[in-house]
Formats: sequence, C-alpha cells, structure tokens
Amino acid sequence: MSVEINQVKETVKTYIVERFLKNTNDKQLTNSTPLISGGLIDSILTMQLVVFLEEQFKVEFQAHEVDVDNLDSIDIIAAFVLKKLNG
Amino acid sequence: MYSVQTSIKMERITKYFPEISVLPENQVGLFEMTRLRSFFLALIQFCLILFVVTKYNFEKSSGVIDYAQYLLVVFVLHSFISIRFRPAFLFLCCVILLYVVFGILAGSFMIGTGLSLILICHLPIKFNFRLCLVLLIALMLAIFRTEFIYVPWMTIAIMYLAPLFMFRLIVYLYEIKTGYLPANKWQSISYFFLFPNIFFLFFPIIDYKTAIKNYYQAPEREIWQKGIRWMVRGLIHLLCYRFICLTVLISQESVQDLPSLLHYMAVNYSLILHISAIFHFIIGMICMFGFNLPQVFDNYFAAISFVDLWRRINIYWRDFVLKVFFYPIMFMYKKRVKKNLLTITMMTVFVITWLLHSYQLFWISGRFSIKLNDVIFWLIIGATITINSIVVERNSLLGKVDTINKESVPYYFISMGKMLGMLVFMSLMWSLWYSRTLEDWFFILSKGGSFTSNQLLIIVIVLLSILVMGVLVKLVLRNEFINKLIYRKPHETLVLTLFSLSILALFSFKEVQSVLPKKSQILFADLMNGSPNLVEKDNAEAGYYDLLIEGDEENTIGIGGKSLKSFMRKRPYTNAYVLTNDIMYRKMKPNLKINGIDHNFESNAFGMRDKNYSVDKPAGTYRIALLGGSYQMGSGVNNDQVFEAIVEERINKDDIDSSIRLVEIFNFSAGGYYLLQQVELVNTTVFKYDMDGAIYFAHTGERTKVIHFFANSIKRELPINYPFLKNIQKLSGAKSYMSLMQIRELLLPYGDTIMKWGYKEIAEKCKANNVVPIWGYMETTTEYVDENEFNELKAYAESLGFVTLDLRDTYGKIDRKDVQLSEWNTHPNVLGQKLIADKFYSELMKNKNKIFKIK
Repeated sequence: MSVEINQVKETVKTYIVERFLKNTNDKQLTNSTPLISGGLIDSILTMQLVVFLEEQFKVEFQAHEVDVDNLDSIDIIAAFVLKKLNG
Repeated sequence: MYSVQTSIKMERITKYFPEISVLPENQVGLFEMTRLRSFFLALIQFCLILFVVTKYNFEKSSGVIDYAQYLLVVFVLHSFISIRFRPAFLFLCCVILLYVVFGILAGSFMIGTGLSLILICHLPIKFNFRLCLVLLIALMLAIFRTEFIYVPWMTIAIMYLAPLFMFRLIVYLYEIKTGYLPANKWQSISYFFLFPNIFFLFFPIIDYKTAIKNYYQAPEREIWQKGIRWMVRGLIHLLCYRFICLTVLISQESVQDLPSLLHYMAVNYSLILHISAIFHFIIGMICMFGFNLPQVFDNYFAAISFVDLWRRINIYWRDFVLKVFFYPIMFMYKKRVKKNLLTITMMTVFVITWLLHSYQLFWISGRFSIKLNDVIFWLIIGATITINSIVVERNSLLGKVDTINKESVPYYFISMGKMLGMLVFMSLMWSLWYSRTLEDWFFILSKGGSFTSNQLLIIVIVLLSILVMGVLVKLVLRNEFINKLIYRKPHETLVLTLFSLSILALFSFKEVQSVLPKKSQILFADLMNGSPNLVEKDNAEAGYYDLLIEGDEENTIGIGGKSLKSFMRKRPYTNAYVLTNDIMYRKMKPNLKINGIDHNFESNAFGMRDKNYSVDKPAGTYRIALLGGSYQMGSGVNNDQVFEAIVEERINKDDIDSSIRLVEIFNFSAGGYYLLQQVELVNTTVFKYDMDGAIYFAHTGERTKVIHFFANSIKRELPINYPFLKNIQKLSGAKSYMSLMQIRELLLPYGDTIMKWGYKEIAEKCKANNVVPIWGYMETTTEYVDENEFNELKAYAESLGFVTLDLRDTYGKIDRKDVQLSEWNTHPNVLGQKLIADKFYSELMKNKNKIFKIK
C-alpha cells in the first residue's frame, strides 16, 4: 500500500480534531502539537487512537510502542505509521 | 572554527550518550563565563536550600541534613567534570555514601548485589532465564527481609537496597524485553544507584527511558533552575504540611459529630502534601545532576474527575502502571476479549496497583499487610476511575460535544462543583485508607449522623464559599498577565525561588522571627522544629505513606540522626516473644541471647530480661519484683544498661543495710505490658520467687492505657478470668465484633474504676504475701507530667498502703531529644536509663526504711 506522509498526517489530524478536540477551544492543532506530553489525550484516548491507526492503515502496534516516542504529535505518528508500513 | 570544535565534541558525546541530541553548554566550555554565572546562581540557591533544609529540620530522619555538605560537594564536582564521566561519578558518590553509612560489610553487600542484578539483566541467555535468576535473588532477599533468617546487618542492607531496585528493575527488564537497550553502562548503573534514594526510601518510580532521554536534553542552566524550583516547592509543601499538623490535625478519636468528621477527613487528605513535598524535593535534587525529569504531581487538589485525578496524582506511578501493565494487558486481551475490554484491563491494573503498594510496603517496612480497607480502597478507586474512563471513551466514540464554553462563569461553577465533589470523595477514601480497620472507619462515619441544623447550615455555607472563591480565582487567572506570572516554566522562576529561599532563610534566625507576634513566634518555632506530634504518630500507625516515609516506633526509617541506629536497636525484639492466648497477650522467651547490631538482648531462665537468679531465695537476700512495660524492660539498650540493672548493682555495692547481704531486683517488665498484665503476673508468677517488695510503675495517661489494653483484649477475644473485668465488659456493652474505637469509647467511663481495681489487686496480693507494695511514677521522655493525674494516683496508691516513689523530673533540664532513642522511638537511650537509675536509686534510698525490711 503506497501512502504519502501528508495523507497520513491529514487523516490523523482529522480524526484527532473530530474525536478528541471537538469539545475544546483548541482549534490550533498543528502537526507538532504535543498530544500526550501536552495532556491533550490521555491513556484511553491514546488507545482509541491506536485502534484507529491499526484499522485505518492496517498496521499492528505492540504494547511498548504506545508511548510518547511514537505518538506524541501528528508528525511523529505519521512517521511511525510510515515506518510500520514500510516494514 | 568554533562550529567545527562543537561538532567534534558533539560527536564524542553521542558516542557515549546517543540520546543527547543537543550539545550541553557545559561541553562547550566548563569554565566559560556564561556557564560560570549560571552555575553560581544555581550553587547559591542550592546552598540556600540546604541551609533552609538544615534550619527547618527538613525530614530529619532522611539524612539530608547530616549529609548536606556532602551533597554540595558532589554537586560542585559533578558540575565541573566532563559529561562523559558524570554517570560513573554519580555511582561513585552513591558507593561512598553506602560505605560511610552502612560500613564495609553491608555496603559491599548492597553494591555487590545491586551490580549482580544489573549484570543478570544482560547475561547472554534467554530473557526468561534472566528473569528467573532475578526472581530467585529477589526471593532470597525477601527471606532475609522477613527476618525469617535474621542477620541484623543484612536486614538493614536489604531494607536500603530494595528501594533502589524494587521498581526500577521492573522498568529496566521491561525496556530490555521490548528492545530498548541502553548504550552506556554507566548510565544504567547510575539509574539504579540514584543516591537521593539512600535518603528517601519512599521514592518516585523513575522511568528508565525518560531518565535516559531527558539526560541533558535542555540547557544545563534550565535543568538546574528547574531542580531548584522543585526543591523549593517541596520545602513549601512541607511547611504547609507541618502547619496543618500543628494547627488543625485531629485524631480519629476526636471525631464526635458531622463537622468534626468532615474536619478530620479534609485535613487527613491534605496530609498528602507530605508526599508531594518529598517527591518534589527528590525530583528537584535529581535534576541538579542533569536528569531533566518531568513533574511528579500536577495540582491534584484541582482534579475535576476520577480520570483527571489519576492523571494528576503521582504521575510517575501512573506512567509506570500504564507502561508496564495497562498497555500490555490491554494488548493481551485485545484479541481475546470483545466486550468490556477497558473494564477488565482497568480492574486488573488496579488489583496490580494494590498489590504493588503492599509489595512496596514489604520491602521498606518488612511487613506484608493485606488489610480489608486497603482492598476496598483500591476496589472503589479502581471502579470509579474505570467507570469514568468508560464514560470518556463512550462520549468520545459517540462524538458527544460539550456545548458549554469552557471559559464561561457557568462552566467555572460546574468545574468547581466537580472539584469540590472530588475533594469530598477523596477525603472520604483517604479516611478509609488511613483507618486501622474497616470497623473503625464505619464507626467514625457513624458519627456523621450527629449534627444540629446550625452545624449543617455552617457546612453548606463553607462549601458554597469554597465554590464561589474557586470561581473567583478562576476569573482572576483569566487575566493574561496574572496567568503568565503564575504558570511560568520551572526554569523561568529564578526571582521567585531566590526570593522564597531568602525569606525562609531570613526567618530561620530568631532575631528576624522576633518581629512576629508572640503566638506566631511559638508556632514558627514548632514549624521549624518539625518533630512529629502525638496525632501524627498515631496516624503513622495506620497511614500507608507515613509508614513508608518515616516509619513508626516499630519501624524507624532513614539514615539521618539517630534513626538508623534506632532501627538497629529495635530488631532484637522481633523474635523475643511468644504469643499467649490469655490476658498476658505475650510472654518473653526464656534463655534468649540475641545479638543486635549495636545492642544485645538476653533473657534469663524465667523469661525475664534480667540475669539468672535461683528460685529459692538465698539467706540475707532482699528480693524486689519490678513490674513495668518497655521503659522498665529497657527497650533499645543492652541488658546491663537498663536502669534496673544499674540500680541493683549500685545498691549491692553501697551496702545499704547491714541486715541485707544481697538485693535482687527481678525485672518482670516486658514491652506492651500494662496494668492488667501486672495484675495477672501478681496473681500467677511474682510470688513464686519469695519476694520482699514489688514495685509497680505507672506512667502518664494511666487510665487511657488501661482502657486501650482492655479494649484490645476484648477485640482479640482473649479469655478474661477476672469476674470484675467480665462485669465491666458487660456493663459497658463492649463486644468483640465492634470496632476497636467503639470498644474504647464504651470503656472510657470505666477507666478510673478499672485502674483502681488493678491497684487494689496488686496491693492486696502483696499484703497477703507479706510483700511491701511499692508504687513508682515514671516520667516518659515525650509527655510532660500531668500533675493532677500524678497527685490523684499517688494519693490513691498511698491509701492502699503503697510506698510511693516519685520519679518526676528525672531528666531535669536536659533536652528530651537527648534522652530518646530517636524521634519515632522515644524510649530512653543509655543516657535516659542512667538518669532514671539515679532518680530511682535516690527515691529508694529516701524510702529505705519503709522498703528494705527483711521478712
């Protein structure tokens, strides 16, 4: 499956805004906004995000991959998803 | 040229620390002017912190005060050595501290075992084999920790080694298992041997990856200032905690109605400030050595939901649980469980959390306690957070939107209402956790049913006032200027920290304190003193965290002052008694010889802490039975240092009476013996040895102690063979299924009657056996004598024919702390025992003619 990094970023961003940030005033979500370390999403929402990424991009996460290193911003998520897709 | 040099240096650093992506400024030039300026600013503040810590007696037992200069030297040296050698240097500092504190044998054991554990993690064998080896070592250490095999120095070594490894080893193994291999072995070693952990056994769980990734991942000056800020915050939290303890803390026993119940619960929950103080201080101190760690608590009192609380309170613990348990369990169940995945995972995680708390308590205190109120506490906390999480998840999945503007006044009211609700809920939960038993908790809650309409009105007004004040604060915080002023990044707080430290340092001088009103001066002196008051000590018996931070009389924690020595002293008693299913509750084992680290404990063939005597009295011998508790038994000192032994030797040396060839004082005292046990001893044992005199020693709070012991006997369903006591139990209505607090309360009106009965029993039995009854009043090292109580007891004892000995004013003008074993174990030390001996001897001589009459 050939996926562009910007495509991943756009999909993730749309999901995050729709799901997690709809009821906040924070519409200024950029690709580098810290999601976990910035407190925008907690452990439960992080798990939802993981499930979404797994279903959307047909990738499989390991438990230890669910951390700030791989999921803290849209940029990081996109890079990680692409890394997964590219094996 | 400069950039080339910089890039060469960067290359060198990344060779040793691959995680560092920016060149720490100290590597550009250790002695560059800008760096020196930042360093001196940090040094001045660190000096001020250690000055304040010393002056305000910050966690005296921890040892930070004792080793303040060492900390300072380590900081200075660490700041001026190359970054390459810093992790190794930190390890070396920890090694030195371990040897200085624990000596060669225990120190070597701790370092050797620690390094072996790290080594095992890296053995070239399958991960599961490594895990088994680690578990095997842990099991062996646990056997020694339980004192099943009692080796005194090893007990202490394990107690202080375990906190370095008990959680960090789990994290480390997890990282190895998931492929995050450390590149620098010294970083791994210094991660385990974090030397502030020697001072504070109760320590935040530092995540390995976080520690490595944040090592010098910001300009050094920023990390230093962050550390300073947190240590200052810790100091301020501690002062708030002490202020609460001194002014508003009440005991469970003081709860009588709804207002006092709410008061107790709210104040009890606010004591979490103690943990927050220590954790901030610890993390701050670690920051001073380059670890740019995140915050450990985040305004937990401001939590507006259960999930929010979980997010804010002890963040390091939460992150540890999420990483090592929550995500792996969720992934494990993900494919197998289709329904209620979150519920199952969360509840499993909270069961683990509860077990981990018991695990932590075990390694630090040696006790493995599974109390019903602990189980219920974690069950309720787990259930509420789980339900809240499910709601959050559902709302998120359904795309539910809060239409209310989060910056509006109505929302402020809602969130303040939620916050208040959380505070009430957590106060309630905390009171459960801090209750000795579940029955005790239900009993104090039952007091909440007692209130007047006026009290209820006042409670509602207070709650509403808090609500309105909270909203006002939120409105003020809307102001951008104020918001910016308050919510500064830690490293932007130089002025604030310097100012706070200067004020604290200034007010540590008596001359400056004198500007305060007289009452405030006294309060301030108590704040600086920091010694735990009686209610705090009482709480510590039941409080989970108090046990971990400072321990209690049974379990002194810390390497500071007399704490470690006191712990060593306490150990001989672990196996000195055998439990009996009668009113004696326990008896000392005969012919014991236990060698503690710094004192020994021996019992004779009769099961007394005394030398051996013959059953038959030799001719010309005058025998006195000494009936007392742990003070008289000499808890914490050698046999020959107990005042009874000193006085016996002195009397015999001084040859006080020509008709008496020898005086033998039989010490029947034992730890935990009170009046009722002395009555039992008089009825069953004492007169078997042909006594001439019998001394009963009374203390401050005689009636209360009798009630507490009798209540414990009823609770434990010990057989009571005295018709008088059976009748009192019947009259009071006390039953074994009731909470201990309730039994005590029911017995309270009978305290005087029981006490008088006990005195009468001893006096009558003495007379019946032609023995001189002697009553002694001994001053404790903590409570000042209650003159009214003393006069009443003395008059009553005299009316029964007791010869009375007045041992008040034993310690004269000597500071009580100088005669105590430690802050928490306040039994008399060697000096205290000597002073008691002097006083006891002089009182015996004063009454020589009444006492020393050979039958």
